[in-house]
Amino acid sequence: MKKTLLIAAAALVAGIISSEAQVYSANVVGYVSVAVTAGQLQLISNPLDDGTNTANSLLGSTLPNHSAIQIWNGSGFASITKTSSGFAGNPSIPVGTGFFVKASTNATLTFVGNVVPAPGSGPSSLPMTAGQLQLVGSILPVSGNFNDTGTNTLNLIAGLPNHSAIQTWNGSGFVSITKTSTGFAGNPGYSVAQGFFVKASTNSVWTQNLSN
Amino acid sequence: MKKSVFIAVLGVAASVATSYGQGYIVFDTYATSPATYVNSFGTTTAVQDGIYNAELLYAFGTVLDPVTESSLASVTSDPTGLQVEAGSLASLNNGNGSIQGPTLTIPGYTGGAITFEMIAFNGSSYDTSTLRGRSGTFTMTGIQTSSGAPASYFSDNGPGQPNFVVGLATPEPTTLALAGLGGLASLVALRRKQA
Repeated sequence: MKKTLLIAAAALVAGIISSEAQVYSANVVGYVSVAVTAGQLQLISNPLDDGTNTANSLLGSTLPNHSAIQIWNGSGFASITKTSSGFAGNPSIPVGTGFFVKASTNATLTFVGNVVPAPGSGPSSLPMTAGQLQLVGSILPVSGNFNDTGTNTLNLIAGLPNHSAIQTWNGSGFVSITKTSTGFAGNPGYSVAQGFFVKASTNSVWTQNLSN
Repeated sequence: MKKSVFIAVLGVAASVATSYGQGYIVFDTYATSPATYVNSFGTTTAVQDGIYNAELLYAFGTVLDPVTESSLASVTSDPTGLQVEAGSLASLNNGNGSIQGPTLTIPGYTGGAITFEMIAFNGSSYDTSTLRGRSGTFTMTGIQTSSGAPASYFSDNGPGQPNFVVGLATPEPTTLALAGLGGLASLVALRRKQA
């Protein structure tokens, strides 16, 4: 009897050690809150990996019914309405994907999940195709400026060729800013979970890294 | 030769004209503010039975052709002055009578006022359906013209789409009377022929 208990206790301790080791060695878990205003189109992005990364898993419990999202398909936007049964088709929204939200009432969207990339796992990278508009957001949940470079930053200009451009949403239209050898003019600010268009002048790769 | 060149030039001009300008609208009455719905008129087959399709009609500029939601005339009358938006056919939501349809492209739209009307029907078209209804026209001051920006919603500007009803598309009494007279005349003619 005593031996059985000891083995059971040892197994429990081993389980705890094992699960703690997974947590501390690999993942940073967090949350990001984004306030959305009723009736306003806001361009945001998915800042964290919740393991599923679909419209229903990310927004199903926080975005009110009668709201809508618009997803970029490479040439235009497709609108999907949120009803009491969620989003029809439940589209995938991977980390670092930009999309529009139009909330029916004021709400706070809370994204919960793992930071990508995990510490020490190497950089996350996003291929950018020449001449193609891509609706993106920072894979890392960071804020700062568009000219920031280095670990734990947006690090966009490090990989984005000159003559490329970004388009940021000002609430009613897009503002285009071209990248030159000195970066983006005015060094515009970037907020956590902000979405924006990027149009690379040549094929290139955007990488972001998280410090250990 | 000159004639064929002239025709070719005309063809190019026509294709340029048709490809110039597009508008983008979300065919959705659930995500608008306020949301609007289609209801059943009287004891007609309910919207909840899931038998209705919907289409969007449009015309550039302002077209005034409203209907009264509580009147059966909105069911028996036809839309006028608008055309069907190709690709807008979608199923009416059988839970609440709203439409959560696709993002539509309005060909030839370059800006300015645009009038819409939604129709709902149980058959293959509005004209041939036994159960149907229409929203009456509603006009927006403008819609999105760039594919690189989010499409407009009905409530972005203007009054938005009104609620409306679907009901039995019975002929008007005058039509019935004319049909009866026609039948009577045929009967008389037949009896004379037989005599």
